[in-house]
Amino acid sequence: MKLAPSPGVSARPPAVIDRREFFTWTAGGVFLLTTSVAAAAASDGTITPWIRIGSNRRVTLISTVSDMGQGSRTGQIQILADELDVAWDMVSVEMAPDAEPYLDEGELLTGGSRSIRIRYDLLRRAGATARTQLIEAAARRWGVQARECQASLGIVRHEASRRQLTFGDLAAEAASLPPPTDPLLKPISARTFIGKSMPMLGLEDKVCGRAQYGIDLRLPGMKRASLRQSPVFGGQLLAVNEAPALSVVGVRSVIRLPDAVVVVADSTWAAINGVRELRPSWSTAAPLLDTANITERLRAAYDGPTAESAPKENAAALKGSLRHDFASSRRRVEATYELPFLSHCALEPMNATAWVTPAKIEVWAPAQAQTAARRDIAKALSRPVGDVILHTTLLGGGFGRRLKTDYAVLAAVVASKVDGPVQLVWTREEDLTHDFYRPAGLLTYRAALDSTGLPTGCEAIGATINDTAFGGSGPAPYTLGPFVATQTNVGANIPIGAWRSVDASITVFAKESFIDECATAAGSDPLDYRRRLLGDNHRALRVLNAAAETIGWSHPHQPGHGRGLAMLEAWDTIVAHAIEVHVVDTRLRIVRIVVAADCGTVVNSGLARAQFEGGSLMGLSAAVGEAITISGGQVVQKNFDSYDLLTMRQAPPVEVVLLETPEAKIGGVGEPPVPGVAPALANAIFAATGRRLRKLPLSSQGLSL
Amino acid sequence: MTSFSVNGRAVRVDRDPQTPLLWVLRDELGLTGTKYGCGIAACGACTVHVNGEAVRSCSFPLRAASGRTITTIEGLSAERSHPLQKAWIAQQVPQCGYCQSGMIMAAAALLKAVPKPTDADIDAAMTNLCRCGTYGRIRKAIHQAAGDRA
Repeated sequence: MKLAPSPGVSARPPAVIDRREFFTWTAGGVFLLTTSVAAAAASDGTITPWIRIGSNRRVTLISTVSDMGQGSRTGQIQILADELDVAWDMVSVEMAPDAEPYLDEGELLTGGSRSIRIRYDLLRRAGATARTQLIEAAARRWGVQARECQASLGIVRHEASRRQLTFGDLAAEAASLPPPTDPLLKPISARTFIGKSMPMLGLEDKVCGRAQYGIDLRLPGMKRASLRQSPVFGGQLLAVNEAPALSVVGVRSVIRLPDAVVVVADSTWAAINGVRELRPSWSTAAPLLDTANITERLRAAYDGPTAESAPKENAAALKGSLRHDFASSRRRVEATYELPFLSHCALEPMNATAWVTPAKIEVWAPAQAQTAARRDIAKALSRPVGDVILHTTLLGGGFGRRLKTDYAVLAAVVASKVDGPVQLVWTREEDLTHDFYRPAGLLTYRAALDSTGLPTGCEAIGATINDTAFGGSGPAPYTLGPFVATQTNVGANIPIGAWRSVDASITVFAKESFIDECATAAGSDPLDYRRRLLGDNHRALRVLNAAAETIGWSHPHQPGHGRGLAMLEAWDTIVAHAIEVHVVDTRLRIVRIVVAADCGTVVNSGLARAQFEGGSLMGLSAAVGEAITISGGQVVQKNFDSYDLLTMRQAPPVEVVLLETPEAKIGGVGEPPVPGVAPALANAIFAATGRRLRKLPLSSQGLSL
Repeated sequence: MTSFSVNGRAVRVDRDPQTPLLWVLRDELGLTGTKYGCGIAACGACTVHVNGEAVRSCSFPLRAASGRTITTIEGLSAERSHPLQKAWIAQQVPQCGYCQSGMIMAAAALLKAVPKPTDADIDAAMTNLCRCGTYGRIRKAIHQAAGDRA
């Protein structure tokens, strides 16, 4: 195993250890089961050193997961602890270094609802491998057969002779043994932790103010900094009046960057105040965009010559055939849906702390993308990547925003001009106006219906800003006949990024609204219609039926109420939302939100529920109130007084139904809860009022919670 | 020089009296449990108690703290023993957790004023923002804590 020159993420012993270091650490009584796990992995190269066992019996899981409240670290411990057979409180987690074999497609990052999905089999196998070797080590020491020994709660026992040894006693010997080629995994019935609602790691610290996020880091001699970036995207700093800023008590210096100006001070407040005094002027980047002309550009580009990403080689022929059928059909449905830019609004504003010396660049950041951050920092400072040591702190929310590296790079750039460590904290105004936004989009679906009311095929045509992906637009989990999607990317000077559920946050609103419109055109009940479209997809039918039954679809509701459905199949998970709404004039009262989901195997039922509860509310927040608008090339919404996040008063209870299909691939739960809420709500409003809403947020249509 | 009490300790702070209490707590007194979220009293992440009442410390000047008794999340209880903290753990409320200091302080002030709050009381008092969407569990935890206190 090759070590990067400086993969360090933590001041603790490095988790990736080469052969020589292995023995060093063994002598120190702390070691990795490097030999065993790595050797077992030799065939496919994916099973790697995930476990360290100390002589004190402490088990450390080397995890690639940033902790942003999603609970994946807790889930990973459950997976490992079950197969390793240790007690819950024996295991702690350490952040993996930015080095192979911890990378996911070359990157250390947390995203894509992947933290459990891509590590489930690997961690089970790693745990089982280690357990097998620990038992073998005990058997050899006692001169008995391994099959006569059992492991439980971190102890290997030989019942016949009433002898026992702890994992800590055995760890060194176990690591030197050849790994089993095919370690025996536990049957579901023998699991202790997987599926249980184990408490989230670190929760106690979060209720007493002890949890330390990036913004809470304190280093001796640390300066504080705040900044103003060009309000117009692409603008450059022209001039700045430094004197008033430098006269603020506690301000040390003003740093000019090409598109930003930074104030360094003794305290964060002094830095923020200093920035307020700067009165910078900026060049503007023509053309100055606003929301109206962005929408026009999306419309103009629709299905235009830049269209791409049709999924099949015969897309053109298929499109021609679908359009011919559509044009000649007597029953056809076509509708266009419009969605706005969205901001992430992680409650912890962007921040990072950096300390640059000739020897190294040390950065502490609430990061989702460690490899990218190190790479980008090195590039910005023209230093080798090996010089960059990145410590991942707790994240006060991620939602995709912290997959970008700008905030960490800026901190490092500032630190390179300051003597000693410096913490750069963005104000909320900077955070909201310099996000990487969920792109605005227009999306049209059209289908010809056959004599039974089902689509003979389906076409999706869309345009979005700076984005060519079109995930979630396809038929799954339904059968819609031949399908083709055409996506046009409209370039505009607005930063775009992944917002929790990414493309599906756009496409599922359009698709699931459209399916309801087809049901209406066919004169069908939306539930019955979806059942017909699901055909013999029994797994998806079970999810849909669970949501429908829970909300009482077949039972009458009160006048003025309406119920709506939406489905999603993505991240290897199937989701159905069912919403009942009461509409009084322009006021929406959400009576119930039900969400049923099948993610294959539920690792932590409590935390999975928490994801579906919170994710559904994030979906509701976006559906009803959230929009970033652009005027004069700038983001209009500067703070939470104009960007409407859901509040307690507006938040209905979310009823979660978790289903399992143990033989299916394990699915994610971070993003799947979000996309279905908007279409289910729009469909419910249609059921209640007959008014079809095709534009989000609903507040733009005069509706409110 | 501004004198006041924080978590039972007398402090004297020599800072511009217009400085928001939030930054005095975080940067001068090392009490980082109180969070910065918006700076305009919109999100409530910075909620502390001033003479027992919930106050958004990002918009509360230092001079107004003079002679007052301030309680932050760190001083709410010893060893997480406040009924709300216990209920927060029992209901597994936090996700990212960043808003939860402010949520708990807002809820503690509510329970002091209204020992058995209704849902409407909770809606009226709990105007803090949570991006992870833990509102439902917060509501349950407040009810649980109110019940435990009976």
